[in-house]
Amino acid sequence: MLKNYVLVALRILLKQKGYAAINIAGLAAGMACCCVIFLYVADELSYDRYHERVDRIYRLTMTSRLSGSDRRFSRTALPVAPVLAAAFPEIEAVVRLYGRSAGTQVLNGDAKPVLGGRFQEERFFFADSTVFRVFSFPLLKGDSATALAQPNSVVLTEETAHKYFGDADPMGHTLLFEGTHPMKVTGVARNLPDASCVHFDVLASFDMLVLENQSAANFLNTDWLFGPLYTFVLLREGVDRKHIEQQLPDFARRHANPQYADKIRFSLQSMADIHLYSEYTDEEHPNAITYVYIFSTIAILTLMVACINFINLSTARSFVRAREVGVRKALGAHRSQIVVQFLGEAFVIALAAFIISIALIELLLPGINELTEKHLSLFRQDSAAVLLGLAGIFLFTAFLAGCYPAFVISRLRPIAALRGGAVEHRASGGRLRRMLVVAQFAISIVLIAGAIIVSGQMTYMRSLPLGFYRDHVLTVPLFSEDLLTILGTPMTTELRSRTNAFEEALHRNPRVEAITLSSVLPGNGSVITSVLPEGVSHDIPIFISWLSVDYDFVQTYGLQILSGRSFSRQVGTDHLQAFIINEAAAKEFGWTIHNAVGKRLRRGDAQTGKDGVVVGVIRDFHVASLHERIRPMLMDVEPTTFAYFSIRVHSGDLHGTIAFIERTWKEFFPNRIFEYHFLNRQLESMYRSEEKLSGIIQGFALLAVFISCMGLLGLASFTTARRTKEIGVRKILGASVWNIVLLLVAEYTVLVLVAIGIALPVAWWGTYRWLEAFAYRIEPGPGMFIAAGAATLAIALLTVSWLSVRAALRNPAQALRYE
Amino acid sequence: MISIRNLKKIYRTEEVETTALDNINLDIKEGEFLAIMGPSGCGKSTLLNILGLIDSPSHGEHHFLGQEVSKFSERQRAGLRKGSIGFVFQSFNLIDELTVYENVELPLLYMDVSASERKERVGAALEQLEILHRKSHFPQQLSGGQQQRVAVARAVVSRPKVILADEPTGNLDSKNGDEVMNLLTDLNRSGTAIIMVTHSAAYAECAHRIVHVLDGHIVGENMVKHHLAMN
Repeated sequence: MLKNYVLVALRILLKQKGYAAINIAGLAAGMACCCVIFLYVADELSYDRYHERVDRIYRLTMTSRLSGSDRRFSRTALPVAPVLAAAFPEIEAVVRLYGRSAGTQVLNGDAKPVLGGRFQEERFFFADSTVFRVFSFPLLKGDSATALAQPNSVVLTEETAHKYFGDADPMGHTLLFEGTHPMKVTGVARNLPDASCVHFDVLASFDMLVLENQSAANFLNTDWLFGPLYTFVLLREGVDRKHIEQQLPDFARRHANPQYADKIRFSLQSMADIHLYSEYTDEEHPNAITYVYIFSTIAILTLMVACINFINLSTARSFVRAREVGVRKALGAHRSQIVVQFLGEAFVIALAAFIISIALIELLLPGINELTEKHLSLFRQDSAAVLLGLAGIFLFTAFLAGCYPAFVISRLRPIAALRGGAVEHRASGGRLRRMLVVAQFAISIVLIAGAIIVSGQMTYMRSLPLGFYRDHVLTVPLFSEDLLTILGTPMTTELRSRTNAFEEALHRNPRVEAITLSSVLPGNGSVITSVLPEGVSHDIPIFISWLSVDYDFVQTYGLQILSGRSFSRQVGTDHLQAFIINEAAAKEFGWTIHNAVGKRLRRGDAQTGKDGVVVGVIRDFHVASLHERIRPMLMDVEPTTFAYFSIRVHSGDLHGTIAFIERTWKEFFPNRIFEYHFLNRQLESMYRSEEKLSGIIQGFALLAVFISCMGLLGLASFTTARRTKEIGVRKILGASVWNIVLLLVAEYTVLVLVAIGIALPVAWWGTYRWLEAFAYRIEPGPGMFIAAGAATLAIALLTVSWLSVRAALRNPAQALRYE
Repeated sequence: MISIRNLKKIYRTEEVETTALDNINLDIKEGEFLAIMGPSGCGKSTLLNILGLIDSPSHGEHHFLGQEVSKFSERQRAGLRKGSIGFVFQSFNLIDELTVYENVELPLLYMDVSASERKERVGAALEQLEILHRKSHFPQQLSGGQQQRVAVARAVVSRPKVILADEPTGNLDSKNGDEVMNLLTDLNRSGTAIIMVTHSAAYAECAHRIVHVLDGHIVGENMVKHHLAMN
């Protein structure tokens, strides 16, 4: 019997190649997408689960309420960890982690640099020696108990060790950190999994961090507010997080600096939640769970569209198979036997689709990995669960897609089935089929509307005036890629005179239009500082953004002075006592743009801060990303914190200009690696998760429409075939080709219109929720949604009218002969 | 073998109620050859379907092989159908995707007959109907007459008590029609009861008895002369 079923299934597939192709292609595409997203979601959910003690690891986070609103930080200050460890016996271990970019050099036995042994490490981390007790970073060489216990020691990952030393044993070798501090290799760690929120290539002992920041060491070791690093705690077994958290407010009051001890709060975030549920001011990729939800929804919707196709095509075709069912029943088949047969056929088709989808996934994965910056793969050592999940998707699809047709077809009474079956079948099946088509198109329209609005928002953000020049601006880090310049090597007088000479040399090239130095780059966020403006009560310090900039910053970035003046070398004292504030700051302090000029202001505290006068007010510009509103901001000339050159160049011959800048750089800073970025690209990278979403949702929208249209094509071809006689009769009675086309198209137009009616409110709600995350966003007007609906309608009608015209042109005598 | 009393069949749609059969009383003996005649739409096919247990009556009694079957569920009827009733249709109703052999084999599959016995019985049936040489062909590759032979082979392979034939010659030319009638007559001679719906008075003469149906009623019944003579 089984053989009989399989034979019939295969022969039918071969006989109706078009139907089989549409069905299998649609299902395969839907399954492939669902599987890819499943891989993506599985990867997202696997973050940090590789740590053996993951359920006991927590990250110490801080919330500060300094200027009215709460700011939440994933990073905390240096001195917190040791005090925390001492205060809570329930804590088994505490580790501090600080990552940055750093230059390294491999030294030979004579402590001389090895040729070609200079590297710029993007993931250079400093950690306490407890790092191996808290996390599961297995060492291939060295002893994890002592590896980072000694000062100036360093652990490399397998990959980095191989990069530095080839196949030679790296243990005991010396590396030079930032060209100054020697470090001894004391361990080699296994490469870290991709799904890890802590990701180092080099792990140095924590003392190195303080060592290279001697001048700031006092501040760093005592200040509890400035949080540059991550603090992780490992709780003892059986200790409840809440038990510790209850005591943290008291802990902060007792130990933090008195001026803000009651303005900061600590809490513990579970390691397992870090990747998915982080919403912190200083987190680069916040709230991955949002995208897990969005993508999962898209995956399910796409699979549903493909399944609906299958259901629709199968039930539409059932009238062709009705006679067969009738014969089988007349010969004594039970309903269950018919169900098994048709379910079996669905499984055969789904299996074919699944095999094709696996091939499709393999084909698509490289592109998807590039888009998502992951290393997703179907076949890995740990992929048993993934493969099981995929099998689940297959079974689910086969069952979902096969169930309905099987039960509908098997329900046919033999007498009706023998007569052609369509009579009693049309009423219920037809209505359901129409509902499914509506659902399918509604999903497609939601995805299209989503795609239009996401890409609209992306275009808007790209074109939104940020208030400063961003095109053709090259940024060159002076020390290393690091936002927190306070931890960089401080600018010395000697270095300052060299940067000045470098700037002068660049200015000799007419293609270099302007050059300046600053502590951070516009658009990339800033450091927060406390200020004390004239006429404001001393009790509550005001915290605002702070940019340290060179004299020509305003001119280089084309910032607009609203009142007063820019910084000027000619004045001679601007680096000691001049401030420029933005409109928002003037407003915050209760000043007007004009009376602000000349007011006195203090940045920082009485001992280490700077007292001065506001010399100018500039128009607001976007210091941070467009997710945030513009905040009050203060600029002054503080060369010790400079970290970046910004070089505005002429658009012509960029290559030549960059080569010139690099030559000049090597002349003035032979010990420092030259690296550069284009500011506009850096700014765009801040919206990478949105770009990702935009790309993915566009792809899926196209796919959903494609699958829906294939389904529609199949469905329409069956409908027109069934109405052949009706068309013939109408033509004999005098209907024109146009009348017939209208007749056939009208049915589907109504369906798509209903779909539009259902989809648009859903799309509006969904995109509205998504846009809420942006401080600056488009207001999607009805036009965007109408465009989505109109596009779908046009594509659907195009699909159907082709068939309709063909049916309408047929000779009516021929049409009638079929009966 | 079959006994029908006061049988009524009503088709209902939302607005119209049509009485297809009314007050039908009919007895069919084992081994009998019965022809049902009447104009299009008179209800003869409905009657045949009820006799073949692929449709159920609205009222009345229906005894089949000693069982009252009028209230049987589809599942029960299906169980009774297989093995007891063979069907031959006007439009052959072979399954296009199955070969001649597989089509004939199908009823045996539903009867859970063993593979070796299936092979034997299908082979015998095909040989009996002289189409063994076509066993690997698909229905569309055969002439109408050959297709109907396959249909008859499929009807006899399960060794039914009765074969129901719904205008078995309707789609055939006279030569093929004659052949099919000869086949049915031969089958009847070997003991299988046959109930046949036909428009052809000539072919109806092959039966023992002819029942005339008009507007859902049996309006007449006559024994065929040659049969009377033979008796």
